[in-house]
Formats: sequence, C-alpha cells, structure tokens
Amino acid sequence: MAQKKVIALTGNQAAAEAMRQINFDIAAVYPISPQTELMGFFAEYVANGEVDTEMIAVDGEHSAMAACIGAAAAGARVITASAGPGIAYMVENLYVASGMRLPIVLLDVNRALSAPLSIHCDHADSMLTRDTSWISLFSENAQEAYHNIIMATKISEKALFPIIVNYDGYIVSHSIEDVEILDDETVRNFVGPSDIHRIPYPLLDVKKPVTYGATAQPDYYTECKYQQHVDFLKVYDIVREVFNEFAEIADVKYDFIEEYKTEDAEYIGISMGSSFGTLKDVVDILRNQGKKVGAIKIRLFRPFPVKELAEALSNAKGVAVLDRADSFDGIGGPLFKDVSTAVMMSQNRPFIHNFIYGLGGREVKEEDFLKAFDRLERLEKGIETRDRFVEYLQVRE
Amino acid sequence: MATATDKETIEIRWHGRGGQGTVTAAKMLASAAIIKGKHGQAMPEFGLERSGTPVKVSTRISNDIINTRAPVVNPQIVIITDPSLMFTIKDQIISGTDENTVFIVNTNFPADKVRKILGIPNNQLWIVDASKIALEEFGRNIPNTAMLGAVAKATGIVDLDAVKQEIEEAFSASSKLRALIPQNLKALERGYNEVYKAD
Repeated sequence: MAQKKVIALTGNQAAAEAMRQINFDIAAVYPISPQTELMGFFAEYVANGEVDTEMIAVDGEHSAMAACIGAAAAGARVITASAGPGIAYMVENLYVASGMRLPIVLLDVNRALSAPLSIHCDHADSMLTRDTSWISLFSENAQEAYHNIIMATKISEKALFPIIVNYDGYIVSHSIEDVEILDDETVRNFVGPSDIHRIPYPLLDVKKPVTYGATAQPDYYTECKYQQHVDFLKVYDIVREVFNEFAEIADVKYDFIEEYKTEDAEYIGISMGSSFGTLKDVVDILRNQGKKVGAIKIRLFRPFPVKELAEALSNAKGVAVLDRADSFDGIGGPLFKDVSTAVMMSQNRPFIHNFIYGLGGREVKEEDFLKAFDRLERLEKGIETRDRFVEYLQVRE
Repeated sequence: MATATDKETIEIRWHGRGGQGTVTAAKMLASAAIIKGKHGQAMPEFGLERSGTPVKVSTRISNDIINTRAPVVNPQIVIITDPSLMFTIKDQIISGTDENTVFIVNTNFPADKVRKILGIPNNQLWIVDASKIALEEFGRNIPNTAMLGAVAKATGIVDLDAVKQEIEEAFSASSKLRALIPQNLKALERGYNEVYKAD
C-alpha cells in the first residue's frame, strides 16, 4: 500500500520531487525563469547523488530538445523543462520528437512571450505546442503538477508520443501549498523500470538496427502523418487507462475534464491551470446568490476531450471560455475555438462567449470572473449585445 | 472575498522589499500551519525579482482546502517588514483593509507615529523593531525570522515550535545556512518576546 505524507512545497519543489522519484536517465536543460529554480532544485539532487540522472547543460532550448530526442531514441527515459521564449525556441524539434514517436516529458512552467518582455504567467507558450502532436496536460496547483508528471511519464511511454506537463509560472511554480507526496517505491513501481525495451525500436538495440529521422519523399510522407494521426486518436484510451491505474495508488480519480457544480448549471465557465481554483470559488459565491452556475477545467488539452466536453455542455444555456492567451486571428483565444467545436457537437448548442484574462501575470481576482459570468448571462438573455465573440477582461482602455 | 464563500480562511498580506526574506517568511508561516495539519498557501507577487523592490505576498491558512489563487484583497492581517514602505506605497498597504484589520509593523517609530502615517487610528497595531534584532543577532538587516516571532505572538495562528521546526528545515540545505540556525532561532524568540501591542 502506498505511503503518503503531506508537506509544504512550491510547484517547482513538487515537480523536482517527482523528477527525483522517477529518477530519469537524462535531463537536458537550459535555464529560463520561472523554470530556473526547478532545475536548481533538481541539480542539487544530481550533485548529491540522490538520482542517477545525467544532467546535460546545453546551449539553448533547441539543443535541449535535440539532446532529449537522441537520448529517447536510444531508449533512455528523458525529461526537460522550459518556459515562454524557451518553448518557442524548442518548437522545431517538438515536431521532430513526436514525428519520431519518442516518449519525452517536457515541463512547461507557463510564461508569456515577448514583446514586451514578461517573465510572468500566461499560456501563450503552451499554445505554440497545440499542433505539434504532443500530448498536453494542464495542472491547477502543485499537487496536480506532481501527479501529472508521474502519470505523464507512463502515458508517454505507452502512447509513444511525447508529453507536456503545464503549470503556471510563479502562481504555481513559486507559491507554497500543502502537497501529498507518495513514497519513492510506489512511484517507481508505477512508472516501471527504465529498460530500453520499453519502446519498440531503441537505437541501442544493436541486434535490430533501425534508422530514426530518415527523409520521406512525397510517396510516403502522407502515410507517415496518417499513422501519426490514427495513433494520436488512441491517446484518449491510454490516458484514461493511466488515470485509472493512478487512482489506485493516489486515491484521486482524474478525468480529461473536471466538472464543478455543472449538473444543473445554466452558465458554465471554462478555464485551464491555476485560475480554475479561483473560478470554483466564484461559482460558490454565485451559487450562494441563487445563480445556477458551474465550472469546467480542461486537464487533458491535447488530444482535446471534445466528446466529453460536448456531453458536459449539453444542458447549459451559456458558456464563458476563459483564455489565458490571445490568438490574434479575429476569432478568439485558442481554447475558445476548441470549446466552440465541442459546442457544435453538443445537443443544445449553448451560447458561447470568449474572455481573455491573466496575460503576462496580470493578477486574477474573483471580481474578474464575476464580471465574466455577468456579461455572459446578459449576452445570452439579449440584455446586452456584442459585435465580436471575444473581449478582454481586466483591461485599462 | 473569502468571506463570500462559507469557508473560514485567515488571509494575510505581507509588504516587504526584495532581499529581506519576506517571501521566505510568508512561506515559513504557511509551512508551519501545514505541519500542524492545516491547509496553507503563500503566493509571492514579484515585480522584477530584484533586491530592494517592493514585494507583496499573500498567505492563507485554513481548515478547508484553499481553492482560490487570487491575491489577498481584504486581509485580516497586514505585515510590514520594511518600514520605508509606509511612506512609498501607503495606499497599497492599506488597500482593502478595514477597522478590524490587524497590522504588524517592523519599525522603531512609536505607535502613534505609525498610526498617523498609515491613517489607522483605531486598528489593532503590533510593533517590533525586527531590523534591530536582526542586526544585533546576525549583523544583517534580514528581519524575517524576528517578524515571524512577532506574527506568532500577535496572531496566535501558528505556534512557535512549528515555526522553529520550519526554520531548522529551511536552513538545512547547506552547512553555511545551517550555521545561521542558532542566530535565527534567537531572532525568532526575540521577535516573539519584544513585539508589543500598541494602545
């Protein structure tokens, strides 16, 4: 039976603890705020000999991912971490990693993109990875970041796709909270030993020589992408399977989405990451006033849980999508368009509106989400009108 | 806003300057509560992560799970670790407070002067010269551990032993830090003993 203890940790400390317990073979990293502190904690474990991990200090994030790709192809269990511009610099190699079907864990300590320069939180960095064929999980707090890293390691190796674990820079990474930690043995048993034969074609298996990263001419490229397409659809079942297995050791049952008071909700707010906690408190405030409101958190962002979300939204009148990034495309934020697809597939097709919030670390208060629910209801009832689907919360005009 | 839901959460806001250990103290306060089986949260709001710049930290302590990630807007307790901030960001310090807010201030000013500067004639006010304690105990103006002692005494929300345990753990990372434990425990106790409630 798993032993558990509750201790006070920041998001970065909790992530470092998961990395220590999993004992990755390789960590290839380049420092960038707010990820730097995480790798500082982990470097201490490496220096103290508490892990067997070989830490490769590379010359930039592009190289960090290149090192991960090489090591993962060889059969090693690998991890890297970055944030904001570091993720942007990595993007070319993210496609290479998923195209080669390599299990790699990437921690994205979410940070805004320049310009203007900001080291603070939003989800613009992670939105660069939307179409990379990486699996993507969002974490509400340090507890979920810790759990997600452990589950991600297993999901990635079962699915043969790389995986991103997101947690909000500073708001989660540098804040302290109570986190329930599993014992080392339970975590190590859960992820299993790092044998090169975990994956089907390790480069280090010299008896079965293979080529990674070969060129594909027009006669085969489409078939390769089609295989990737078909297999990425299988990720849903693998994620569910690992979530279920994890429930047995951690007593917490995760799902693709988390629903909060949605059963009879007329108006539903949807967000990802740390703001969901605040959103839940806002739902409580409005419920105390007799409003039928609820909230949904997207935990599995890629592949997007479109069916589950369509089902969850089927009886709502109105949906407010809260995006922590802008797409600058005349439509709305990235999450808005994914949720719109779910709305199209849902039974009653609720009214949908998009709010952009929390950019570059702008603090998110209860009053902001109260405003969003109020505006949503007025729009849905026709009391107010709109000329766009999207608007900014918290902005000085 | 925590009062808008039915949870009982103590909300604290710290005002200090980068390099004085305010973030560390806020984290140790939350940790000391967590050791005792409570839920705790400490969220720093950094500007540029530079020494000397104003730092604001929200701490929450509760018997319930803490969901919100919003900064503390209506603090029950305000802790000022750098006295000069009373002149430079007074409006931010008193923002969202009312006559029930408890103020704990690191200063060598007399209480009536603090009341006048902050415009808090009737609030519960606790004063400690934590900078003097820090300078006497370890020769640097890092008043955080003395402030923690003062907070433990003034509020009773954490007990001194839990804070001691936290200091020992927080300073256990290296031998250089470990050497500082006795002075910091002394500063903690002095903060606890020397803080006084103003009339």
